[in-house]
Amino acid sequence: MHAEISLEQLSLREVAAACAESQRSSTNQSRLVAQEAPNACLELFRRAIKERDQAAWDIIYEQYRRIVFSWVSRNPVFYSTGESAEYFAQDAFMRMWRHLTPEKFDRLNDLRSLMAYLKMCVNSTLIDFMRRQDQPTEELQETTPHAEEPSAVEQLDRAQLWQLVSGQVQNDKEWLVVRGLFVWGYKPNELSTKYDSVFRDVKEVYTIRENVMNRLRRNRAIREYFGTND
Amino acid sequence: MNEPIKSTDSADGSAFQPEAFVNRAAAWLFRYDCPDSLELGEYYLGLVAEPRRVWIKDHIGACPLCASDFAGLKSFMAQTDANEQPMARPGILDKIQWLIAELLQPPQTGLAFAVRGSDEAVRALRAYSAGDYEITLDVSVDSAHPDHRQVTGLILGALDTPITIGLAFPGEVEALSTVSLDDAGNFILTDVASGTYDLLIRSVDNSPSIRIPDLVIPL
Repeated sequence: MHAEISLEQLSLREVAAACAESQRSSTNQSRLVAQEAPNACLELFRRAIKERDQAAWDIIYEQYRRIVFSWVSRNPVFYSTGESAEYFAQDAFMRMWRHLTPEKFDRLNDLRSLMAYLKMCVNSTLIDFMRRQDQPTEELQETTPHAEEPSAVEQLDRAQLWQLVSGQVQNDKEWLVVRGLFVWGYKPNELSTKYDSVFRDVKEVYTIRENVMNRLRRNRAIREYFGTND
Repeated sequence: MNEPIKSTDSADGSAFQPEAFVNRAAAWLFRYDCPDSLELGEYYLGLVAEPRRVWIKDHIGACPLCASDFAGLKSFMAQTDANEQPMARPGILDKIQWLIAELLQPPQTGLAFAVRGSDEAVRALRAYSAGDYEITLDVSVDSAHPDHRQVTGLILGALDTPITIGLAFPGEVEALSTVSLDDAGNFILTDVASGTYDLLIRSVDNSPSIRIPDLVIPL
């Protein structure tokens, strides 16, 4: 008679072997391990995430790196990045390691959901790469404040800065122009095209932008921060 | 190109630089209140609690960039055989004659600065596409035969009929030796000497199936 053996009692090596076996035809594993094989992979993740077992995580990486690599190559964003698939695959694993807390693990509850989380991390790393590519950059030499001491505006966080800017907006069209140009990164012609039911043409977008700029320049804090005194 | 906005004098005589302001504001405020991609993904998976979950839902409805990101995420997550082992598609390989696999991605080494000839530098991942199938190959050192290599692989999209995999000299139809594909689509070829081979993937009735040409096994 075989004694009851729980997965938690098995060594990491045994659990890893059972996980690998669960993905193949059963061969020469013990009957009890084979019976538990479908849960063995989940046990690997449990040890890695809830016990922060780095060795278990390393096994997960080796076990699943090929399928993660395949996911990267199947993401439509990947081929426009110019980066290697391995770069994104490694980052996806890193994201899961860092962000899948024990509490979240308990909510996911099964291997299928854990694999979905890992796949989501693949998408996340690719999307973040593209967001960084899309991020507008400022011409620092044109915007260096003249004041030696940091002004109050320079100390604002971005949400507060938005409050300051959007506070100068007087209607929905102005809000859309300011939001579209500053927060969404559209060019005036892109904004005009995307919201062609709102704006007559791109000239209207420019006109609205200039009206808002004229109002903003009268705001002392904004003028002090973004203007130059040359 | 943006139409330049005229610079205007402010009350203290300094010049307000509208274009500079636009540049800085755009750099500062770009997607300032958008949830990061990981949170968007956790929202998709149902891991975000109230009231943040409601806020994200409303934000996706209002922000065209997040709406686009979320649509892309849903589409990607819905791709088949992504979260599971490869699903069987009965009889597909029986209908294929020689299907030449296309290299999707050149060999990617595990470490960018690995010393040439080191174990790390030998290791390389490659992805191929052949019809409805994708094949991922991993070339690494064979620990049992340090002067030789092993090729481990994963085939997605097949598996109903038993499949054998082997390496053949370029252009040959008979493999030097073969291994079987397991139920999960994995295989491993061990003790492979350096050289150039064709990888042959066949169903058990030996009708030619997929050929991956010019697979280089490094020294």
